[in-house]
Amino acid sequence: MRVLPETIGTIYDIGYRSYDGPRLGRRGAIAAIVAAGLRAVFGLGRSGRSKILPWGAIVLAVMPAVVAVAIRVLVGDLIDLYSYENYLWSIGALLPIFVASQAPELVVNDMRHRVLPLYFSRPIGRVDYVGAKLVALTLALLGLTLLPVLILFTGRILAAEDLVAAVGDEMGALPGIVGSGVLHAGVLAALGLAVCSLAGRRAYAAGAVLAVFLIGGVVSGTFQAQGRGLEWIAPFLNPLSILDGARQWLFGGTVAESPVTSADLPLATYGLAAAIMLGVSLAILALRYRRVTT
Amino acid sequence: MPLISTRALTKRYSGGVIALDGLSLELEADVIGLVGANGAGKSTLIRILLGLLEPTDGDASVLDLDTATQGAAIRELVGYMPEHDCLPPDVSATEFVAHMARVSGLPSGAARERTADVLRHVGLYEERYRPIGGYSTGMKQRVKLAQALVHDPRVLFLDEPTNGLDPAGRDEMLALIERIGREFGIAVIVASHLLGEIERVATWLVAIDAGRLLRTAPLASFTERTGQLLIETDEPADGLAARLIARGIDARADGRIVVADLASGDASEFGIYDAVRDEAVALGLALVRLEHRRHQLEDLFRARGTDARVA
Amino acid sequence: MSVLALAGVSRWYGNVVAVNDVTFEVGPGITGLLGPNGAGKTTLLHMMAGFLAPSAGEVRLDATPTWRHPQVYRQIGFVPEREAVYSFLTGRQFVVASARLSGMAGAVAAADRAIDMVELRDAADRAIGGYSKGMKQRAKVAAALVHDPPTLILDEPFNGMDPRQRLSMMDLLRAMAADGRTILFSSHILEEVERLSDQVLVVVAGRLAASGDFRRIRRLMTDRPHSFTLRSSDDRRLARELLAAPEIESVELRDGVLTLRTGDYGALTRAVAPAAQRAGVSLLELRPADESLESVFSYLVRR
Repeated sequence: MRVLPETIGTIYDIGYRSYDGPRLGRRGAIAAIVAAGLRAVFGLGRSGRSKILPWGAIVLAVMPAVVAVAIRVLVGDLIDLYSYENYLWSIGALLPIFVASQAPELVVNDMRHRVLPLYFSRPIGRVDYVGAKLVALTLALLGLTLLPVLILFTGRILAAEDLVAAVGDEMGALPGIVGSGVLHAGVLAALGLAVCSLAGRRAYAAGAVLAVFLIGGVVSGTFQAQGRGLEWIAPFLNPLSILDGARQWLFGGTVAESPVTSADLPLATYGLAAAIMLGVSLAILALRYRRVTT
Repeated sequence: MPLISTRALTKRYSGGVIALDGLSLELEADVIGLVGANGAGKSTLIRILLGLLEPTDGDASVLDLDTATQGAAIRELVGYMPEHDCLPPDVSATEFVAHMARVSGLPSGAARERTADVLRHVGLYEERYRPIGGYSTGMKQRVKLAQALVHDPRVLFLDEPTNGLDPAGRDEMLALIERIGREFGIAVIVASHLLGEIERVATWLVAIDAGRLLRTAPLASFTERTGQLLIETDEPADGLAARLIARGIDARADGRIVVADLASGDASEFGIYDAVRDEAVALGLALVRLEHRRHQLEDLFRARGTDARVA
Repeated sequence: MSVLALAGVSRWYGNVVAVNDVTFEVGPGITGLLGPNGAGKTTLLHMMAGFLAPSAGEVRLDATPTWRHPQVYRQIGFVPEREAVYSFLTGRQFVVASARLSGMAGAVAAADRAIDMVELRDAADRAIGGYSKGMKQRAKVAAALVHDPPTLILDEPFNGMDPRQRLSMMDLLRAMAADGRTILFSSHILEEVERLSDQVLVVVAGRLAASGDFRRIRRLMTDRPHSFTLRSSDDRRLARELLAAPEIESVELRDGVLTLRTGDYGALTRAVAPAAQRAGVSLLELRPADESLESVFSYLVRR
């Protein structure tokens, strides 16, 4: 005879339980910070307002590629809105806006509200923390620097009459596409996080990032337009043109509007400048996070 | 295996500040009160024990792991509740504590479940879904405690856990700490500058003064009886004192209080108590208080020579 | 002898009423101003020190209003809560500057005396930026004391001090009170106020909830029964005897301790010894269970 539960009284133990399950150590910690970083950048788990800018930027970055593919499908390759090389330059304005708006989310709060001691009292090091944040922002930026170009790439292949031949034709460009995307995303992420780590509040951080890009961009444009032998300065004032030059050095392919073209300097200098930008950013991050006390 | 042990632990900062000076300790699992260390000494000690700072001299180990070489392993087993504000304002308690659980290495599912449980244990209910920025100080302190507990540490470091709490909140936090030590089976180290609180929750005491160890012993040994009986009435007590003296009891009056030496007078078990009772009746006095005088933690810090005030 | 007197004092900031119709007098000795955070303590102290004007009512030191009467500053030493020190100055420089600002002669000698009083001599020639919190507090106290004011006002003076420093500071304040000075300090930590004050002022949400000796205040809380704990040689016997007394509301026997509740404090304290004698029971321990400032305070906060 089965005894019904209602006829016996039971009090269940809901006291404190200890944990004997798996502990994932450093790897788990880093993965958690990357995942949380991505969520923060794209406003997941937050109000709708915080999703507008990041997702809007992705849409704006991707839209031209989609349009270009549609045109190709409809009209064939008579009109080519974009090449792989100049796509990034064309959507260039979106990058600083994205970084200025979202990089602070990753970095400023933890520092301003002194959350860092809670991280560092756990089994991760400073390098792990900063590295994870960098990975998160880089992955997010790939949505702007790589995704649209991949769409363009895939679209060209799929729109061609002879798929197999098209794959053969376009495949050569793939390393350049990926390399360029990663280069831009990585360096901009480092730069953005470095600037933000110096700022006290999210608003100041956003302003600082914008300043670094826009002022550089405007002044650079001025130099470029002036001519009279000053064009060589122009590319070095704008992080985006430095990156364009480095891209050109590594993967080839010029962009007409970029100051790199008018400056006409050996491309390796841009590679060097990009490496310096990256190095300085990482150094700033290292110094900033060294001083954290528990 | 001792919970924590240090050997001649010394930390000198550039600029000449000596935060710790030859500190040698052995602590077993308990609720351990850490008092007296000034700001520099206390936070230095905690950072060294967490493996985040290297001592100038000497060494330390937590759970038999050396702090200088096995810091990450220690930090897997330890929970830390800092003194200062450390919570981001725009996430909810649930989200934050679960995230911290994952950073401690818990897999996602376990992180979520333990977060829910631990928030219940510290007393956060519906508010856990609201952003932390809107919490009261008491609620924020609970979140801080929750993130220290969520990964089931073996040792908890609580730095001034009742900071900023009103009396009711302080009561609740202290009760929670007692419960953690007693029921959850977790060793707790409470650093506090409020001696009354330490007297209430701790079972063991470590007293540090100017970076050096003052005493380490069970708390009870600090609050021992002094061998004196304290009697408080509603009016000046000289009359009572006089009548007790007449009975051969060594007593003196101080305003409305009489202090009597338990070793004097009638040698029978309750002799002196009955004497007090009977004289109070005879004089028609109101008895407000009758108790053994005990030492207080405070006595430990009094400058040499000053005697303890009548409690 | 200095008396700080407040009459019908209120202070508002737009719709926020920080202090609401407060009247009291503070005389020589140590008075503790107690209240939860945000209760209006700092606002009150600033008005008493003459740094803030009341929106209504009068704040006077002896006969003079504290607001807009700079000569009052010579009579008052004020130690604010915030870190109001220049970190590049040494302790000594800071105290000497304070002395000079109050226009006194012999500033350096006075500064030396003040520094000795707060036991800061060893660190006096180091920059304040390197001081611990407790040392900064002591420097501020020295600066407030240096012109030898008869009234001293301190806002949360024990913040951040370790036990030894706190005991020294308490001894210092007691010594100054014994000299006849008027000392008023604020705190949200009951333990400190209980140890140090002769009188307390309890403020809750801008209103003055109670004033005086907190034990006397407790006796006035007649709508709440008093609680006493007892130990004896025969608890049950004593309990039976005590239950017969009409002033006893309840008797609880648990874990070897007898807990009594009464509405009539005086009657109970007079009844215990005779009851024990009648029952032939030895009285071993008697304690008021809820006479602490903490208990008084939690009652006042809820009114």
